[in-house]
Amino acid sequence: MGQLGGGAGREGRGGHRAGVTMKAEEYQERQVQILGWPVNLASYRLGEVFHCKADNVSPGAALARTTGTTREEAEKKALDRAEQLLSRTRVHTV
Amino acid sequence: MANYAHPETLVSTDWVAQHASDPNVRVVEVDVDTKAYDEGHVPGALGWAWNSQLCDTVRRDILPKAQFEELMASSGISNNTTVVIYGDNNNWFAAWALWQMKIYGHKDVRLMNGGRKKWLSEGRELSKDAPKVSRASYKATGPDNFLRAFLPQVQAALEGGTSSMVDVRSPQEFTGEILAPPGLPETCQRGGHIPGARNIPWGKACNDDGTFKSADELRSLYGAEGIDGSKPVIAYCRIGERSSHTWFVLKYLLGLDKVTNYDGSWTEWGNLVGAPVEKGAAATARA
Repeated sequence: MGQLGGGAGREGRGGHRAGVTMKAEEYQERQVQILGWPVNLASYRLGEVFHCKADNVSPGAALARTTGTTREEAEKKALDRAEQLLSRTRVHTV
Repeated sequence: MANYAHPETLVSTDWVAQHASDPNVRVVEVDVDTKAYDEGHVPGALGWAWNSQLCDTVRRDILPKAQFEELMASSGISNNTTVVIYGDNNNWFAAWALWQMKIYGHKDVRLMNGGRKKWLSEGRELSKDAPKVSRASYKATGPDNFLRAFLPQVQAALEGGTSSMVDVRSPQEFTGEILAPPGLPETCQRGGHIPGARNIPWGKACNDDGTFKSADELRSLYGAEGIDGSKPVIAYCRIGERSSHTWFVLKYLLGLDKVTNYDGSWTEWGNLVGAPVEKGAAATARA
């Protein structure tokens, strides 16, 4: 489920709220440098699972979205993936 | 809100918490990362994928009118629905969706100030359920191409010096040191910027919590680079989504009349044979 697929409408009535809701808890953001690039790490807990999102700072593009049983595990996965992607970035002489 | 020219185009997270289940309000999440919606979203919000539902998937273009009408109808949006859009990266693709809705004449579409980040950081309710919606009837107008710049218009503006161009990418993309945001694939043959463009990265319009800066701060930011409404403005970035964010700021928060989003952006210009390209930092802002 999730994103509406191909513009197809959902069946049923126009009701809104359904099912269980949750909240992001222990939300934190911090900046780190990876291979010289500033990266923003946002992490939080949803239920029992920690989520982490890594973005490069200035352009703001998303690099990684990961989960873990601890914040450290989620962040490490995001940092690893971000490093993998950032290592491919070529810097040109201007 | 902060003396904006069109405060009706922006709502707070509080407002959304209070109105998300109003029958005439439809909340929609549009993210850069299309998996974010599934992780949890504003209860009752729909999710639109920018890369499949908000563009023509065959040729490079925005959503064709008939498909736009179908997306609205299947999302339970009628012409009179108040649509509130939000998303990650301080509303990048939320602004892209709003821009398209304005092109097709939707009257009441707003951004949730601060986007997904603010909603999360405030510890507000999230749901994993996609809402069930009743199909609506929708008739689009337009397209209003006064909101959009195509290549010939940009070329004419460059030759005639008739418009101010704002490049909203990062300084390193602007100078040509990198050809895409770090970590993303290079999607152009040449780096640099359109000659004469001013570099005002999109993120400078935002506070740390993702909300927009005040009108005075924004006026000062853009005014310092000569973007004051005295000339039409063309905003561009790499593929047109970051520039739709700046387009929103200039048009609705500062109220500049003639602002267009050049969605062809650098992936078009930087691949053109023979197009003039300037490298390095911009010259001092012109008066």
